[in-house]
Amino acid sequence: MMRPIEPPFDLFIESKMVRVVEYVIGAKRVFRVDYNDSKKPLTITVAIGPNNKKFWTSIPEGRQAEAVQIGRLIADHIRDKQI
Amino acid sequence: MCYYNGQKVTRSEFIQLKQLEKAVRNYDFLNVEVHNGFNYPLCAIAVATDDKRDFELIQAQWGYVPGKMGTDEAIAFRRKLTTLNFKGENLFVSESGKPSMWRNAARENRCLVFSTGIIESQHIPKLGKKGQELKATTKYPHLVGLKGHEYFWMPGLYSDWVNQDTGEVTRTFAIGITQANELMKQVHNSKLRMPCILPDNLAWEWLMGDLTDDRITEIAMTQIPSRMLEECTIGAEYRLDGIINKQQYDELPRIKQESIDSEILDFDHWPKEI
Repeated sequence: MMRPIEPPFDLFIESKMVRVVEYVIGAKRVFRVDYNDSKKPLTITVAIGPNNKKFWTSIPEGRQAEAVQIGRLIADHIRDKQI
Repeated sequence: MCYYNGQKVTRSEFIQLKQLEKAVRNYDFLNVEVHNGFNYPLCAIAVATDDKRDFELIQAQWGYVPGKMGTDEAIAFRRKLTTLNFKGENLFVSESGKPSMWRNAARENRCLVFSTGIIESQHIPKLGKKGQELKATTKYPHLVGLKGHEYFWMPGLYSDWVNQDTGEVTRTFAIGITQANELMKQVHNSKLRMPCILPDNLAWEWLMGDLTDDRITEIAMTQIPSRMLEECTIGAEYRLDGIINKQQYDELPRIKQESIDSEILDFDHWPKEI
């Protein structure tokens, strides 16, 4: 069966609402974060480091801090829905 | 060991992330609320991986162009045949009884088209000075979605159009349409057709299955029951601005519920319990 793609959702980041949309590209779950203003949208995914340690990263490189901050919120959002 | 964004990753992970970069860069269909078919926009479609164990989401141009054609030829082709949609019942034999232009794609190039909602217009005759109905109509656009679902899948067929003028290869696709259910007969009252919307199991079969022609046709004719759909009228600005605003039209008669309640469909392949 197909794994359902997360429906688009909104998150509050530093008192601003951003729109998050999930896509699947290849076998990767990719999240596009739209700031609804002039700031460039951010695309992030979960990468796998040594010893299978997972971490959030921006696609392309260069916005790692943002990826970690927003990735954590996305993970919390998805986890909260499953409870 | 390689580094990506300052983090250690394996070589294979690094290659995968770099491939992902390329795919993301090409994804300019993201964040578009309304796709108007007649602009031949880029949309999200799912195609099976070579081993048919998974699928990937890629972008393709809505408006099927088969094989090799120059730019002018492709424009003329689309104008003449309007290849945004294909009829489920004409995948292998055309309405005139000839072999259908879709038959090879139906066997080899099936895809799924991702959508969060479709827009169809209800045509209501304008009234003349004496109150008589005129041939001219007013169009009332409706947004139709799947109750309780943010998105759904429609069967599609794709073709890699090789532009003989530029050498450029563009993946193009068409969406399957079928006979309208009772709700869509009222909404899309000029054509009495609707897009085919597939349950997950049939979407998977359409994409991955090794299917007979009869089974392909059967899936492509799937009619979603009216009870599973939700609709509302929207403002006409969706067409030019690509923005959806709910809008009530006081003069528009309400959708008749009676025919929906007694609906019997010839091609309802949706699970009964939903």
